[in-house]
Amino acid sequence: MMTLIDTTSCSTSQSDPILDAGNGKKISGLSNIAKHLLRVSDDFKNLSLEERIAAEQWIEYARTEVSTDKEAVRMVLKELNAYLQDKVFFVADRLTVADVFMFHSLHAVFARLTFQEKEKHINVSRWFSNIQREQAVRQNLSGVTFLRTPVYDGVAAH
Amino acid sequence: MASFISDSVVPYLSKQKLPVLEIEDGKFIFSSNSAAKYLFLKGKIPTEEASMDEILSWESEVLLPVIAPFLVFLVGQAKRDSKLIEKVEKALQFVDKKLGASKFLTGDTFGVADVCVFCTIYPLFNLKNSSLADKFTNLRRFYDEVSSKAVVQGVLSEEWKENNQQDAFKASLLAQRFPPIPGASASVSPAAAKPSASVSLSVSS
Repeated sequence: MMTLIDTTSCSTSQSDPILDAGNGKKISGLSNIAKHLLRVSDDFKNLSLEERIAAEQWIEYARTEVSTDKEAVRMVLKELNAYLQDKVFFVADRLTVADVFMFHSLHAVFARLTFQEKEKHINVSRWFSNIQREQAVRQNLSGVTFLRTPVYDGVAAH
Repeated sequence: MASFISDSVVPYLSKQKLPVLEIEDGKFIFSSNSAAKYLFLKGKIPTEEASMDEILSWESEVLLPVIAPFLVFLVGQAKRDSKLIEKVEKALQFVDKKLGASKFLTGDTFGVADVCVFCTIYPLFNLKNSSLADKFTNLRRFYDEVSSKAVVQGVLSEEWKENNQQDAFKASLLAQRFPPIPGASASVSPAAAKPSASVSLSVSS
């Protein structure tokens, strides 16, 4: 069992989270923790080295390319939309840390998109909509709406 | 079969960025740090991944985002920005301190973290009007040590030591799009939300 501990020593940035990995080993920084989980978690034991490295590079992409800067958003949506054209998940046909990391990085971006922009980037929107259905992944983030008109209008009205 | 491609780029990426490692047909590793790490792991070179990751993500998230615009300034294509210079110095201080404690970045043996950081700081020691790097003595020692390696010399003589090296480097630098600098006023740093207090990671180790 590992726990996230809240200290700010020995990290490059004051706000870096630190993971106590046991045996006195501490992993600091979001991406380092994500990469560590890819390595040690039973959930990802069957990923090939190639898949693990691919997941790592998308984590790096999420950290270095995704921002709320307008020009960056335009580029990122275009690139991810092209990449996800024939994919359900970022790597290995299944949910990995790469999807979770990317979802949390993109949430602020998607929360601001217009319906038109979401439709224009249909592949990345489909991926996002799929990922956010998973409550364990979405945590306490708000759900992003992709359909202007609810399909089952009235069902929840009481 | 892994091969480096030189005449085309990853189909889904807009930017022209090299190198790209194609690990199998249509599967690309476009991050040079991930590619370097992959080759090391594939080559079964003994490595301790956690400390390697620490340097690699620092390189891509902290060092490169400040070095890249700083190099644009050094080649005379941007105004002097004292905040940026301060950030570059802070980043170099971090690595200089690390190199004070051990010979290389992840210990006393030369590893993938050294390759990646060396490549990023190389121009600092080679552009005409760069004197910044000289005050970091451990970094200087590291630079001299790595650049004197035969394998590094081999690559440099092909890629950099041509007559028009500075011009070619300048052209390549200006052709690239760099991510926004973390903490810069115009753009919010990577939106990767901090995990909320409620996130509990339960992983058997």
